[in-house]
Amino acid sequence: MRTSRTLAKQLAAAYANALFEAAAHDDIVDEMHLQLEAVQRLVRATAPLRDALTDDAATASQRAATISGVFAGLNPAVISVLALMAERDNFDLLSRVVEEYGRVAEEKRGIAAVDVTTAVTLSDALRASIITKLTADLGKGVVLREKVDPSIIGGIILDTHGQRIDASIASQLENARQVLSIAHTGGEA
Amino acid sequence: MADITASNIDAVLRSQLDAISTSVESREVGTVAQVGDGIARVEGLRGAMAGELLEFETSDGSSVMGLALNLDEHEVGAVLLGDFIKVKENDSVKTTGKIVQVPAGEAFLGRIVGPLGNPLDGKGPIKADGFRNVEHKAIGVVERQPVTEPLQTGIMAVDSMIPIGRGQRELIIGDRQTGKTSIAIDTIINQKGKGVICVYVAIGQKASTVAAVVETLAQHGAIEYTVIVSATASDSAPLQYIAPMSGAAIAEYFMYTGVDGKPANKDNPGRATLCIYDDLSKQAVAYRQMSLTLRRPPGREAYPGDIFYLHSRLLERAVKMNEELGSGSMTALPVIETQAGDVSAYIPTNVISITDGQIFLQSDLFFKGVRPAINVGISVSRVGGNAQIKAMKQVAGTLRLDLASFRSLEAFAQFGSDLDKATQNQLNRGSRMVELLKQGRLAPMPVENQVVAIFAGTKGFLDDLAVPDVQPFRDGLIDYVHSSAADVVGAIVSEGKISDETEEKLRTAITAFKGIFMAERSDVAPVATASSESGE
Repeated sequence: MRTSRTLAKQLAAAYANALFEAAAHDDIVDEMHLQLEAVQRLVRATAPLRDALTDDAATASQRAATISGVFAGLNPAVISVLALMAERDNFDLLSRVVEEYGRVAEEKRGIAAVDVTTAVTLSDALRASIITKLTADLGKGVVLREKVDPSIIGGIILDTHGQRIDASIASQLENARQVLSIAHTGGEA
Repeated sequence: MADITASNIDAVLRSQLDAISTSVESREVGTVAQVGDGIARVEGLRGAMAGELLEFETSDGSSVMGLALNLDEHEVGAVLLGDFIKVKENDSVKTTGKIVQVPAGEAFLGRIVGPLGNPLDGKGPIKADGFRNVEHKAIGVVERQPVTEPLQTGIMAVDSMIPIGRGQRELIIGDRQTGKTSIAIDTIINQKGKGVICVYVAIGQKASTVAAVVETLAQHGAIEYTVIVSATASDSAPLQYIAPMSGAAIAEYFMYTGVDGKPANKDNPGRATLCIYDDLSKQAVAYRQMSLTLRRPPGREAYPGDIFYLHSRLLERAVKMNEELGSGSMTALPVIETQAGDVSAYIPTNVISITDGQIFLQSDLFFKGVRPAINVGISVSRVGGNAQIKAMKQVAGTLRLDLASFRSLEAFAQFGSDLDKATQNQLNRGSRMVELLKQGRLAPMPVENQVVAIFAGTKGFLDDLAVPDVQPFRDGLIDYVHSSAADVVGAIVSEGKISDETEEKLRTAITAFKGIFMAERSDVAPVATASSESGE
């Protein structure tokens, strides 16, 4: 088990930088970010995969082979970096690498990625006004990563830097439900 | 209650809907990286606070609450409260900016609730007067006053030798099946009509045991002033961990508010409360489980390093408040179960050192028939002496020492047969005092009766009785004094002490009753004399 935080930080930064440079070269910074996040979600949700990739009993090449087998459809740069991480027994750093990648991408390009969830597809006018507002708030360029989720009913959810602004109808209804369910007015027992 | 009309309902709903804030606030969001054993590791949440309540959004749309305990650089270790099976990896987690709170209020009296204040007795929702933080910092030195008021347990051996005062923390410790819970339950039952609000916290017990306790309290009319907080053995470790703190928070509500529901002050006294934590060994085990699954380093007996702090901050919440704050009090009776009488294990020594004394119960005494099985030699009360009424101090002053020397002599006398007169007298007195202090379950005795009984014992009125006659004599004497010498009892209650005049009257009454008692005995039971010979 790794004990040095500085070392972990340096390693994560090195992998993230390598990924960013490859992505910047091919101009697929945002696509790669999405791919990395998909990998992260899959690894988290699949305990056997996580175990296989951090298993000391497997040889380095076996772990690397697992990566190239499971993630065959991804960008070659992503596959080779992930395989290297698995080979060197650094796969537990994945979430830090993804986080660091996002930070590097934002810093180098001066653009922040913001996840926008809406119930219906954004119109161009709405998109422009969201970007204007977010650019003013964040003080830097903004790229929207749009997601449509009808279950929020209406409104908008903005996610960036681990902060969420939830202005969806679903959460306001939930809020109303809670207020009504714990209210006591008129219900003295 | 107002008439139920459509317009009424409409108005109520409108007023409630007006209260809903539509403002949108930014909250921090993280993601569950790993979950298992009721523990979740959450990535993100840089701004989470220690002990903060987290909201896990599960895939089926419901939410599960969690408690942030480990704050690391990149992740937060949280324990899950409630239905933790639903939480999966990649679920999102929001901070709430709150710490765990429980509802509290007058309506909780007579109810059984879970550690988060949810009703468990099927009697419908409980109207809360407010919410209190489960982790509440104990108030400081200036806000307190010394323990001076007695908390009568109704158990002679306790009230005479190990007196408990309101605001004290007295540990009840002993092996399994030695009557620890009985002492606690008797104490609750004895608070009837004394204005003490009781909170009984059951931690890690069988649900059937809790049900039995509730039944007992209900039968004795004690449930009306009692709140039961139950985290049974089938509840998750975090709930068992939080239960004593919730109980303390519910008791604090009564302590900090007057009968009118307003904050207590000089003119609006706060209530006296009694909190029983049954038992803290189980809570320690639950906390150990949580800590180990959170990968905190194990210490002695694999308990985490802050297990002492856990218990000390809980018990420090026991308090007698000063007059400006309404003189409310919280008396804590923590219970610890020892393994084969081993008080030098980790948790027992910790809690012994935190509390203001302990009532030590021993199984060998229990099986000898000494019940309650209190070992008076090593049971102490460090502050309760100031809280004893003067009459009790007068009669019980030397009781402890007498019994202690009786125990040492008793061991010694087993070897030899020829004992001098003085030693024999001491042994006689001792065995009768032990008999006098025996008391049935669920039969608490008012303090004035205790004074009369112990007076008879320490002044030598029992010395010529056969040992098996001591208890019938005691019970008969109490009845007799109440019927034929009621002024003596009245004087003890009103003056709180035994004046020379009262003492004289009491002696007369006891002598008179003894005459009647002996006459009855010689009529019906000639065996009594025989057993007095074999009694030694």
